[in-house]
Amino acid sequence: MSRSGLHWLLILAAALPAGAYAETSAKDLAIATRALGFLEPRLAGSIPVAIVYADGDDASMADARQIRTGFANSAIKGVAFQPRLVAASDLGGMAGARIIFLAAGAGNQAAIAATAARTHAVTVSSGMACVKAGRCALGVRAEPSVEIVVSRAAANAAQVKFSQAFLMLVKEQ
Amino acid sequence: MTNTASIRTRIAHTAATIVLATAAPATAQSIDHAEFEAIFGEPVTTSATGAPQRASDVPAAMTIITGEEIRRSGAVNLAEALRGRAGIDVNHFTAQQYDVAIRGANQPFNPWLLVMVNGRQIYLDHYGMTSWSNLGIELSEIRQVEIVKGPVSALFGFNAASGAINIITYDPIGDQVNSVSAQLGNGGARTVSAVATLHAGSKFGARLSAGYGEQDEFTPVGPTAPGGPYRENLAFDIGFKPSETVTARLDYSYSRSFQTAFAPSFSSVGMMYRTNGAKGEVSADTRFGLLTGSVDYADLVNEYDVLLTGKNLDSFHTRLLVGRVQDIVKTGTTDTIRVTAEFRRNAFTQRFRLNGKIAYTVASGGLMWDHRFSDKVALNLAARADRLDLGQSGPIDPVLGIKSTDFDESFTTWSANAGLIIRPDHASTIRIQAARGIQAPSLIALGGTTRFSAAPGVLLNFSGSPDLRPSVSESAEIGYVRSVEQIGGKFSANAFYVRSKDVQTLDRGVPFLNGVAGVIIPAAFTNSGGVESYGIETSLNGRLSAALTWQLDYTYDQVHNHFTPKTAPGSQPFRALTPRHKLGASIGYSHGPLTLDLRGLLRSKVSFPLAGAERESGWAFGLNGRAGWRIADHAEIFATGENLTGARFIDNGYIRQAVRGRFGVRFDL
Repeated sequence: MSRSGLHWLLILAAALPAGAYAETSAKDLAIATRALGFLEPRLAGSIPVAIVYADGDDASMADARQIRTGFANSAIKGVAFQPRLVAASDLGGMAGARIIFLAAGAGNQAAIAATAARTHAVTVSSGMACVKAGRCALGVRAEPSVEIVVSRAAANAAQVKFSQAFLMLVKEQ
Repeated sequence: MTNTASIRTRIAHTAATIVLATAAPATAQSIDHAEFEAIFGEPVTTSATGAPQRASDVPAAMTIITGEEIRRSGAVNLAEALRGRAGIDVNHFTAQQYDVAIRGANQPFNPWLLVMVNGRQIYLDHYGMTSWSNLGIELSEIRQVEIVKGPVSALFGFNAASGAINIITYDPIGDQVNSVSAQLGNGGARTVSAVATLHAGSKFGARLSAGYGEQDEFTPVGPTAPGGPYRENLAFDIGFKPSETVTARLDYSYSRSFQTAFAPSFSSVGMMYRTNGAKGEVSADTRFGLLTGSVDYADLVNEYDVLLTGKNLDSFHTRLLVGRVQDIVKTGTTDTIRVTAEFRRNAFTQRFRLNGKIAYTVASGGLMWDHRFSDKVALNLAARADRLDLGQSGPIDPVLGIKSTDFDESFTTWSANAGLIIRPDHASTIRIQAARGIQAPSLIALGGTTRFSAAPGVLLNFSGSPDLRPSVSESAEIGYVRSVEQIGGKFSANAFYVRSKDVQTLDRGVPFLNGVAGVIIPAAFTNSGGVESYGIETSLNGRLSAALTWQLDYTYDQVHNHFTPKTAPGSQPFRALTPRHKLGASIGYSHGPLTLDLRGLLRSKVSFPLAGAERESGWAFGLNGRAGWRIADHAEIFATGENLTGARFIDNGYIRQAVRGRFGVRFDL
């Protein structure tokens, strides 16, 4: 990158509010909920979902609310998602959740991953960094093209299993 | 999971393993096509490597045509819906006879393209051909048609020598398809079709279909068989899920058709085909991978009226049994392996049993390895070996002096596919490939005998050759695909080279005198040379608005024949029947209740070897169209036109193509 390009990039970065990051799009969420349909055993009945946001971060909270709406309106056959918002620092609030969805900007990922491993919850994020770090089991991104990544380490730690056909169609790391 | 559920799952796994150990086979058709397509925004296929893959990831030049595209094409025969696509040649010889080829070298009764429905062979082994009126299913139950261009014998075995077409129907458990349609048109065209799906809970589903179609033959300008062409189908497809991870599927189809056909001997002949086919398949998602076992059965009766008298001269009867086991397993985060074992037995008799029963067995084993080096680079390697053992039992034809022991032949072949995929960015894919495919001799080519009177005291005799060798196709190609956001579509281009050797042709020999039968004019199948073709195929599609889509396909194909001098001239149409240039263009409009679709094809000149001379057919432009109007939520009226320009795509000296128009009504319930 040229020096002037870097200069403008730094100015742009400085202008962004703290905690600004790509939010979870409706398409990301639609793909994620469908992908969760390939868990084995299959999801069925009432499924508690913890949607984790960064403490004190309005943008993260807004993203979490959007995810909650998406889950509440999700029409997966035979599944009724029960979404609730949980602060990233409130690990106890994630108890009982079958799915832990990390909203944009949600930190404390190592502790959340440890909680998921202990409770056998599926950790999901639209931020691929969490998956690449082995802290989220499932990463989903709809744009610019659909990308689904499964962290074998995180999935194994939480004893989460996806169908073989699904794993052959996605990237594993 | 509860203990009870866990025990049930284990029992299901054990049951599936037992079934797999005792039966076996097939490609992994039990994947959830609808759900995966909804997730990835593109079709998912198993027809390139055996493993489920996104269409954009396959290490093969593949075209996928959806059920909706077929419906909007207005075609009443699937082959018509393939016309004009890049790299695909469709010859419409008579009203109901189509031959489809990949990358040129088309011929009547093309033996180099393997056609399947859900992995079950529709290709007819008696002559090595596909009767496109005997698919055994209705077009409205097709989810997608997967066309693999280039040899793919390493996955599917014999006869996927130039490519393969795998027709995927809707899932009887997951999809609800109910439709009824009827069409009436000029030229005596009448078609009815019905598909119904029944579900019992979420674990059982059955789809039933039936159809009938008839029409007058195109304008005869030479000898044709008495009677107009017709076709009828009846089929069912049953799915059952005894557990979350085990799926069982049983399908059956019956079909019967009659038509005047343009035969490989470049004469017209009346052909009746009656087929019965069934397949049972069990697949299980286990800790050892995706295990699949299947058994296929196919029965064919082909009566033929070579003298065009309205009476059948003879009939061929084949019975095919195939057992297959397959395991596809992801061994790490970046590696997928497929292991396949297959056994098939194919038996052939003729009504007059001149050569008793001819039968062969084929034992096969295959391996596939897919490795992802990085997000940008992946490699796929596949190989397969097939051993064929031929035999004969019963009486032997005394005229040609052949012995039963002459049929004690065998051969072993190998086939392979190698593909390197490079993704420079999220929108582009570069594919570099090499492949080796095999076309096995047909049963008639190995041991059939047909004899009829050409004149008083003169008999024409067509006979097989038990020592015939399989034909081998070797190919190399490079492909490029790019999504083009600005036009809401995709560009693709392939450059290919294919070399086929030991090509099997029917060649005439020297007449001789037989004390009993008189003068015999012999014709026998021989390995008589090779064919070479190279070219490019490009495709560009896009969307002008939410309502308007378009597509352009161009193919340049250069074919060279390399035959030995013993081969009689005019018996290898490969070069002559392949147009050097083909340009297909289509446009589709959909707004409210209205849909309008037009597809045109411009092709350069071709010629036909007739009576020792080449009959040339110049450049031609054909146009098909369909207009539909939805009159209610579940009902549509429509009109279709086939060959609206009256183009003479085929000038075979027997039949001239006609303009066909149809009006119809369709109910989707």
